[in-house]
Amino acid sequence: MNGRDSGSERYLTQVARTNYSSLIDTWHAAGHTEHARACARLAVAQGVWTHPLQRDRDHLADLTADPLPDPSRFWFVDHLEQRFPEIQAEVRGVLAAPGNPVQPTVEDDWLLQAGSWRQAYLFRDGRWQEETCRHLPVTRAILAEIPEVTTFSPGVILVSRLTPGTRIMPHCGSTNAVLRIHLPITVPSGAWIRVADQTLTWQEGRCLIFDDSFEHEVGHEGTEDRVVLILDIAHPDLDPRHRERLLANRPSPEERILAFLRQRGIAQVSLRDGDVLLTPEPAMADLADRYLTSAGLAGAELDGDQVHWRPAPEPG
Amino acid sequence: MPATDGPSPMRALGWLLLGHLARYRTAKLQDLATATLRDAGGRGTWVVPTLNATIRIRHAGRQALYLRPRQMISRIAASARTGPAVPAQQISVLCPTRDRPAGLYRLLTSMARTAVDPSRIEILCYVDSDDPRLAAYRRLAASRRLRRFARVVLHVGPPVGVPPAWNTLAELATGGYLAMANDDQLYVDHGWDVALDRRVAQVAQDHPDRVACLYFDAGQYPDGGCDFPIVSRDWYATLGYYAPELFQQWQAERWIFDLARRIDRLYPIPGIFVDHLHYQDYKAPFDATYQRHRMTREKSLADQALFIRTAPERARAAELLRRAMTADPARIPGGQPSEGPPMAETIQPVEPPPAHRPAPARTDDTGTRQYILQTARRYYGNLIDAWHYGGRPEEARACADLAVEQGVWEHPLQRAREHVPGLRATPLHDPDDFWFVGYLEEHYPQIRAEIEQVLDRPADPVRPTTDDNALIRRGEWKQAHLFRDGQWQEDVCRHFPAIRAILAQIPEVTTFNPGVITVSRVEPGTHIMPHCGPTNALLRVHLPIRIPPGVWLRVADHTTVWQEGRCLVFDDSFEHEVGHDGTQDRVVLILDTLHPDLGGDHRARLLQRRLTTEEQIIAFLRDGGFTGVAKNGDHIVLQPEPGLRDMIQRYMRATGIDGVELRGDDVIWHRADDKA
Repeated sequence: MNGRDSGSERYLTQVARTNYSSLIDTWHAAGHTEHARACARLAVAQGVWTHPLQRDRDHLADLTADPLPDPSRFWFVDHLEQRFPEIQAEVRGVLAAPGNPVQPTVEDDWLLQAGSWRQAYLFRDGRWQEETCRHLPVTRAILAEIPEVTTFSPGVILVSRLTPGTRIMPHCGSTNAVLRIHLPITVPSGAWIRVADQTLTWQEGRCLIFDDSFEHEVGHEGTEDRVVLILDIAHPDLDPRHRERLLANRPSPEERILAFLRQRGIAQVSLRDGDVLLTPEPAMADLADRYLTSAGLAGAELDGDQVHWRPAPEPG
Repeated sequence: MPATDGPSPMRALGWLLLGHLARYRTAKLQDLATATLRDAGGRGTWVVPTLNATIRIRHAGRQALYLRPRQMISRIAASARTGPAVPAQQISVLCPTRDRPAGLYRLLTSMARTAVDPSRIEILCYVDSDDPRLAAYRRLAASRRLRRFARVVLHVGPPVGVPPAWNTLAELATGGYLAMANDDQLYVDHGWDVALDRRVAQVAQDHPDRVACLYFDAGQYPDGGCDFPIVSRDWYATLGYYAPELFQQWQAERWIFDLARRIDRLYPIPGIFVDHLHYQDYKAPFDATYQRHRMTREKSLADQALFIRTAPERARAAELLRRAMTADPARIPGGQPSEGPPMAETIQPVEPPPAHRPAPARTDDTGTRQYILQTARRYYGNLIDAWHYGGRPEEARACADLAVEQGVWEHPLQRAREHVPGLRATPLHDPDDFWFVGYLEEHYPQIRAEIEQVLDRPADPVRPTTDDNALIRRGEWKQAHLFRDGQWQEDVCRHFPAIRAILAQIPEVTTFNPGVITVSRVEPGTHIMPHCGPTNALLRVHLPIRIPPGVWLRVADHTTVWQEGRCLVFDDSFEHEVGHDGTQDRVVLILDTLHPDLGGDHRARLLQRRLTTEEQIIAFLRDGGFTGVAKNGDHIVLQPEPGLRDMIQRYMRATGIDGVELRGDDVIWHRADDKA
C-alpha cells in the first residue's frame, strides 16, 4: 500500500511548486530572466500556480490577488503615518548609537546578488523580541496599539537597512495569506522596488503595502543606506478559520530550530563551553567519515574558493 | 607454482646461484625465487639469506670496480665540459617507496651528489600509511644531506599501488619536468640535471610546445628499451594523469613510452647512466617489497593482453598530446614515418579539432555556467521525477522539452545530472562492442549457480534496498553491492568468490569501474518508475540471471525483455523504467563500465571516486553555510560560519536548550536544566 495516495494531488502540487520555485530562483540568480519566465509560464499551464508572477509555495485560493492593495483600506496606516516622526527619530537614533541591534544577517542572504542587508527583529513567531525592543521602546509602544501587526501578526516586524549597491534578486514570498507593509524611515535617491510589473520608489513616512507572494525585487543605486520598518499582516480576505490556522502555525523557536536543522542537513547541535558543536546527518557523516579515514585526513576548511585538507596526525 | 612440491632447498639454492649468470635468469628462476621467499617459514629459510649474501658481495664488487670509477670519471669530465648556457629546468622527482628507507636514501644521496644544482630539484615520495618503516622514512626526509634539494615531500597515503602513487605525487609536483623514480635506482653519472637542461633546450629549438618525453641513456639498453620516463608538464597537463592505473604491474612505463613513440617525441638523454639495482638482474637482494610486486605469469599475461587491447586508448591519448603540439614545420607530409604502429586506422574521431570550436569563455564563466546548469538539472530532475511519480508523464515530458529548449539537456529522454558533452548518445549499445560480454556469457553458468546458491539462504546479502527507495512505486527491490566506490565490498564478496574471481579478470568493470557491481532482485508487482541515471559517462551492463515471464525494461523509446545469460548494455542516463507483472522474482547482475568514448579528464575524474566524494562533501559545506568539517574522535563535526554560529546561539539562548538531536522523525531536546 502506498500511503501517499491520499491527498496525492496536493502533495504533487506542493513538490512541483517547491522545485519550480528553486528552478526559477536559479535562473533569476544567474540573470536568465527569460528562462525564469518560461518556467513560470509552463508551471501555470500545468496548473501549479494561477499567475506566472505569483508563485508562493503555500497558496490559498479565493484571496484577492492584488500586488499593491490600496493602503487606505487599512485603518492603522493613518495611525502609523501620524506617529511617524517619533518612530523615525527613534530608529535613526538607534542606528547611530553604540549597541545598535541592526546587524548583518545570514538569513535569506541567498537573495542578495550584491551588497548587504542588516536587520533587527522587534517581533517574530508571535512574540516581541525583547533584546531588540529595549532599544526601541517608543516604536514598540506605538505598534502595540495595532493588534493587526502584533497579536494577529502572522509574520514579523523588523528594521531593514540596505547599503548602496545592494541588489535583491526577483523572488516570491512563501504565502499569499500575508501582506507586507513598508514604513520608509530613510529613503535616499536611487532605491527602488519592483512588485509584479510595477516599479516604485518609497516616500519617507508614507506606507507601502504589497502582496509579497508576487515576484518582487529591490535595487539600490544611491549613495546612502535605505532604512525601512517592515510589518506583516494577515490578508484581509482570509476567513477566520484560515487565519486561526495561520496564527497557530507561527512556529515556536523550537520548530524554527528543527526546520533550520533539516534544511541544512544537521543531525545534532549542542553547546559546549559556549561553542556550537554541529553533527551532520547520518548519510553525510558516514560519507565524510569513510572519506577522511580512507584518505588519512583529519578534516577540511573552506577558505574562499580554496579547500584545505588537513592530514590526520600520525598514529602512534 | 612450485611452493610445496618444489626442489629441495639445496637444489633450489643451486639453481638460484646460477642466476648470477645472465643467461640463467629466466622466468622459471623468478618463480622459484618467489616460491622460496613465500616459503620463508618452511624448510628453506636459509636459502634466500644465503643467496642475498652472494648478491651483496657481487654488488660490492661491482660498486668498487665499476660504479665508483665511473662516478669519478664523470665528475672530472663534467667539470672539464663547457657549453652554451641553457635555461635550468625545475625538476620534480616522483618516487613511490615501500619498506626500503635505505634504498630511497641511496637514491636521493646519489641524485644530490651527482646533480650540478640540486636546489631546482624537488623530491616527492609516496609512502604507504601502513609501511612498517614509516618512522625511518620520516627521519630520512628530515636528513641534512637532503637539504640541498628545493624540497623533500613525504606523502603518506593509503597503499594504493605504484601507478596511483605516481599520479598522487604528480598532482603535488610543481616542476616543469616530472621524472619517474624508484627506490632501487642509483644515479651514477655527474651532471645529469644539466644534461637534461641541454636536451630540453635542443628539443625546444624544433618544438616550442614542450610536449616531450625523455629518459637517461648510457647505452645500457642494447635492445632499444628504455625505462624511467621524464615527461614535461605540458605532457602531464594534457593527459591529466602521469601513469595509467589500469595495469597490475609495470606496463605503465611501457604505456608512456608508447605514447611518446606514437607522437615522435621520445628523446634519450645520452651519456647519463642511472643504474637500476633490480633483483631480476641480481643487482639487489630478494626482499619483501619485490615479493609484493612480483608478478605471477598469469597476471603478467593479463597485463600484456590488456596493453594490447588498449591500443585504441593509447591512440586516443596520443591524439590528445598531438593536439597540444604546435604545428611542426620540420615535419613534411609523407616524410619519414614514426616508429610506432600506424595510427590512422585506430583513431576514432573524438571531437572536432580545436580550431573549429567556438572560442571558450573565460574559465570562471564556464565554472559558473556549469554550476547553474548543474543546479537547473537538479531541480528539473526533481520536478520531472515528481510528475512521473504522480502519474503525469505528459507534464514530465513538457518540463523535459522546456529544459532542452533552455539548453539544460540535449535530449528530453536523456537527463543525467552530470552530462559530459560529446559522448555518443544511444539508449542501447551493441553488446558485441565490448570484449568482456563474450567472456561473461561464457562464465554465465558458474555465475548463475553461485547466485542461486546464495539467494534465500539465512545469510543472503541480497536485501531490501534503501538507496533508491523513492524510485519504487510499488513492490520490493533487493540489492547487494559486490563493488562500489572503487572497491570490492568484502562482506558481500565473501558470498560470491567465484563471481568475484571471474569479474576480477575484467578491468572494465573493476579497475575501470566508476560505479557498482550489484546483484539486483525485483519481486513480482514491482514498478520502478521512469528515471534517469546520474551521468552519461557510464554504461550499465545487465547479465540476466533469472528472468520469469512478465518482466520488462523500457529505455527511452525501446521496450525490451531480458534473456537469461545474454548481456544487455544500455545507457542509463536515458529515461528507463522497469516493470514486473509476473509471479516470480527477477534477478540480474548489474555491472557499470565507462562510456567507451570517454577520454582524458572526465575519465580520470570518474575513476577517482574520491574526487566526487570530496565534491559532495564540499558542496554540503557550502550549501549549509559551514566553513569546515573534521573528525573529532568517532564523530564528524561541522564548523559553522560566524554568522550562522551567532544565529544558532541566539536561538538556543532564547529557548534555553543545550542541544538538539534529530533521529529520523524523532527529536531529542537537551535542556540546560536537565543536567542537575
